[in-house]
Amino acid sequence: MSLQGEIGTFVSAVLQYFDTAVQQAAVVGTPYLALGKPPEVFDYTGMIRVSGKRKGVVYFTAPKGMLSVMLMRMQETDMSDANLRDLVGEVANTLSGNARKDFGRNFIISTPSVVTGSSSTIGYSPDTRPIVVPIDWRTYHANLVVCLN
Amino acid sequence: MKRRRNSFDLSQLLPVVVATSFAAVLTLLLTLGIQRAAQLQAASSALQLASELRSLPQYFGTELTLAQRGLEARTFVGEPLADIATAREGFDKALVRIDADLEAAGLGESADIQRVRGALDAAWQRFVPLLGALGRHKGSPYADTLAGSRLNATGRALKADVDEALTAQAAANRDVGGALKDLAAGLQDTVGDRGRSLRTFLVIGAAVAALLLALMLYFSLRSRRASADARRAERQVADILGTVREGLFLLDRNLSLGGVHSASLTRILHADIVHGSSFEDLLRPLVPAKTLATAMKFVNLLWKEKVHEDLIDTVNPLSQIEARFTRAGGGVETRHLSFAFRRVKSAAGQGEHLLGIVTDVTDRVQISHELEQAKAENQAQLDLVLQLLRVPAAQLQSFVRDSDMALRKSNAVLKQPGREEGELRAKLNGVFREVHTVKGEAAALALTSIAARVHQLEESLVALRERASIDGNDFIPVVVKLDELMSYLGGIGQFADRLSEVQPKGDTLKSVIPPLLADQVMGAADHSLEQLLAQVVQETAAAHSKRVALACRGLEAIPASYRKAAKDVLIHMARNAVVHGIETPDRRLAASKPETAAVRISFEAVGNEGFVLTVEDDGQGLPFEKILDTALRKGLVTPADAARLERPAVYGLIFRAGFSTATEVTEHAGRGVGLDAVSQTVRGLGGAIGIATADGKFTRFRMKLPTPAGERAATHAA
Repeated sequence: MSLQGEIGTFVSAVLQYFDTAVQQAAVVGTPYLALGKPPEVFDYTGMIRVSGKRKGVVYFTAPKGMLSVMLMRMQETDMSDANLRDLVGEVANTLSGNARKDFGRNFIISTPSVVTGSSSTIGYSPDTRPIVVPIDWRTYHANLVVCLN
Repeated sequence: MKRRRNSFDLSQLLPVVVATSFAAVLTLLLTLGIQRAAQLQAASSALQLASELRSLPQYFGTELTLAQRGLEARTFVGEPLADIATAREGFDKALVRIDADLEAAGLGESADIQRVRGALDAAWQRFVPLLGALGRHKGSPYADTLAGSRLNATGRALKADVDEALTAQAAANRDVGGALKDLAAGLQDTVGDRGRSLRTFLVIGAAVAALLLALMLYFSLRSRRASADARRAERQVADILGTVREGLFLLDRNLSLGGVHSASLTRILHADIVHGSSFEDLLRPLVPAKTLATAMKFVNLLWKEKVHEDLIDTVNPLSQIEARFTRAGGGVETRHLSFAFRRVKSAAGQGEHLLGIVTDVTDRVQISHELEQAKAENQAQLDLVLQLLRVPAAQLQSFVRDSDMALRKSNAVLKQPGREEGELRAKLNGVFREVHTVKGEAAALALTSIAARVHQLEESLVALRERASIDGNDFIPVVVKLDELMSYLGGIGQFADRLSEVQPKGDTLKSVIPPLLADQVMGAADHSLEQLLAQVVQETAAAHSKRVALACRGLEAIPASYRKAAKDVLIHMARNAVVHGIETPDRRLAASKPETAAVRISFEAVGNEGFVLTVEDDGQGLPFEKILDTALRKGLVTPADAARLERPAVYGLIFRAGFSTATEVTEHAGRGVGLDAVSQTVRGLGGAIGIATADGKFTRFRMKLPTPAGERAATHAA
């Protein structure tokens, strides 16, 4: 599968999550390359690491406000840090599940992990240019970042 | 082969043949047995009757004596006479029954029996008239007188007949009794024979039945063993079909699917396989209609015995197909499948089925593509190195910097927040302009490998532009190709940096590269803008079989701050002039024009107002009607607007994004991006473009540019 197809899989995973779990569609913005400086990281970030045919990291990063409203849509009343972490972890889990299903044995997908804080740094190879896919939902803005070489 | 087939058939039929034969024999035995039993029964009946009749002559004697004495004593003799008549009738009937029994016992033709029977009949016939005569006398035999009763005439006649019968009775007793005795003895022997015969039949029948039972048990056991073998074989076939990775299936002459197939088939084809369903229907979602039609013809050919299946395998249209499947979780998955077909023949060599084998060869195809790609990349790398060595390092570094800037601008356009359809299309055009500039400069420097790469990115952009609607997701291929292009140019930048370290300034490459390679880089020289444009013009003209002479004037006076923009603009304009403006030599000669066309480029200051950059060709002029038609077809103007538009406004349409009158897209023209980029660049500098054209004579673009801000300040200061 080409990088283009792999990004498509990750984007589909995120959109599918909004469609099924949140039950309100998200919109994809025009993807771009993060040049010069690392892509923006929001309050909560769920990520998976990929090795095998390609190496790198894929993460979904979203602001707290967006995740809180997502929880409300899902009939959740608990807006604690743990629950927000769980939510962004679930999105990462969806990324992982779809990647395992579509990419086959040539890829090794790590278990999802979650980092918090907008000042977090996500480690990735300096040789790669992360591809940022803006995900817009209601008035909120999140990013899906694919950084694979 | 034929013998083997017969042997096979016999072994299959043997239990049936044996069972049928034994059943027939048993039936015959039973039939004969039943017949013998009936004969035995009839003979026994006859024997019993004969035995019973033996006492009758004695009985007649007794009754006759009673009648004689009664007559003598003048008593009532009606009773003995009636008994004699009844016994006589009984005897006759018994004889008839004996005859019937003898016939039934199969003794109707027996000489001994018939002889005895004849003797009996003769003896009886001698005696029976005497008995019959007794019944002739009617009325009382006595006449009453005072002296007592005495025989009357009837009595006397009766007395005479009784006496005569009694006299004959002794002989009858001997003859009839003897005959009956002989008959009974004969029948006794017959009953014994028939009994033994019946026993023999029954013994043979029991033996045959036992043998038949034994054989049936044997065949049953053999059949159970065969069934167990068949079940074992069936399990093994099921194991094979469940394990094999290939999709295996059978087709009959109607090209309907058989009931047995490998488990992988469902997985490979992402379809439920229904017994008896059409192979064509199964294939329809996987291949285009044309391929489907060819495939069905091909598969039908395999049924023709004269067709060599190995030979026509080379024209199998299904040997490798690209199939798209919808994933369960959404999205489309592309897989490469390979179908092969083999004839399945019967033992007699007749084609009964086609075995279809479908394999998912996606991994193999991908590896093959990767190998081809690697080979092509190696070749491309070599070509690229040769192309790069033709360009001075400084110029190469400049190109890489400019290109990197253009690609970063493209990325910045993508990063802008617009999400609406119009905004996305504006982004698309923005990216198009930037990458088209990169391609233009790469082509101008004869860096065809780079130009081809950019062309691929443009292909993605064109594909998007031609869609009815687009969204952010559709830009993923664009950003991936942009990333690849940046990496590619990054590598070239590193090469240029290394080259600049080894290349003496102002010298050609010939002194620093091996002699063999030097031959290939003979054209390497310092590329001034004029030389660059000359190269663009000559290469474009050669690609379009045209002859063009370029004349440049004043380009060295272009202010430094305009050089990059002027270069981008002039590359587009020069190429555009050759592709669209200049006619082919034949057409020029036919129009009484010189075979070699002229393109003139000039840059001149216009007092303190700024500068004029002019690009002029002596070609066919702008095709007014064609421009208007194209604009109408592309929906850039409405028919109502078209009727009102003045000529200058129509000519202005050629600067619109996506406008091109070219019927074919090449690396030099056809995208409708060049003049849009020119217009954007000139306007970006605060300038304006004017067009003058005469049909069949010339086209002139005059680009008025303001004096750069820095130079204006310097002029004022002076």
